[in-house]
Amino acid sequence: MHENAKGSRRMIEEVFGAGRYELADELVAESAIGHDPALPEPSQGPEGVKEGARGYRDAFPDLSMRIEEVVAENDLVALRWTARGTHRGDLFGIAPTGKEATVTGITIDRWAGGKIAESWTNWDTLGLLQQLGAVPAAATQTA
Amino acid sequence: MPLAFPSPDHLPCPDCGASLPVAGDPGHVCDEERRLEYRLVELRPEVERFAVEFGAWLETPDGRFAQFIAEQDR
Repeated sequence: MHENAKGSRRMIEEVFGAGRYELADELVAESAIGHDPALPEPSQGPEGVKEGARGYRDAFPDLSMRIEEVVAENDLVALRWTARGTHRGDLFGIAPTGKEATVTGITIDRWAGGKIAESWTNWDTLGLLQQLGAVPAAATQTA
Repeated sequence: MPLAFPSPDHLPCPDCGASLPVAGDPGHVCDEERRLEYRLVELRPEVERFAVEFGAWLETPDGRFAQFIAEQDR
């Protein structure tokens, strides 16, 4: 497998999925920028990634990440993943519900100099809020 | 095909909170430990409200008298 793809995979599975935060130092450039719809502003460097991962794992301590597909081309790696975890800590100001949630997402990493230089993630934030009961799951459409 | 309001592929089991496919999981059986943990989380606001209300009641004349009686019976 492409080395960059291996690294991107480890980022999702190990940093986010297993809480191996120190691995971010190895995989993420100091100047890296991370985009995630759940972050109030883009994350900066390895510390920003660790902070984001801690935020998710504080809310979902048993968080697991499964990589469904990986596509690598030139300096880009795209991953389609599924996350699963139990809501046991505050998330976006929502008190723990004890509910388990499953959400999917896609991350695209740009690699430079052997490290992730920029990362774009889009994941099913609405689906998570629906599963936690913060947003109706079957809203009635109005004309 | 007409567009529909987005809905998740999974929803929590109403009894134990486990994440289940919306399409159905006929093999699902609630894990007892998870079910109890889920119930406790659900009851947390009620327990917290009771603790606050009980604390306030203990400060009333009736509450103080009940504490006095309890001390005598100890």
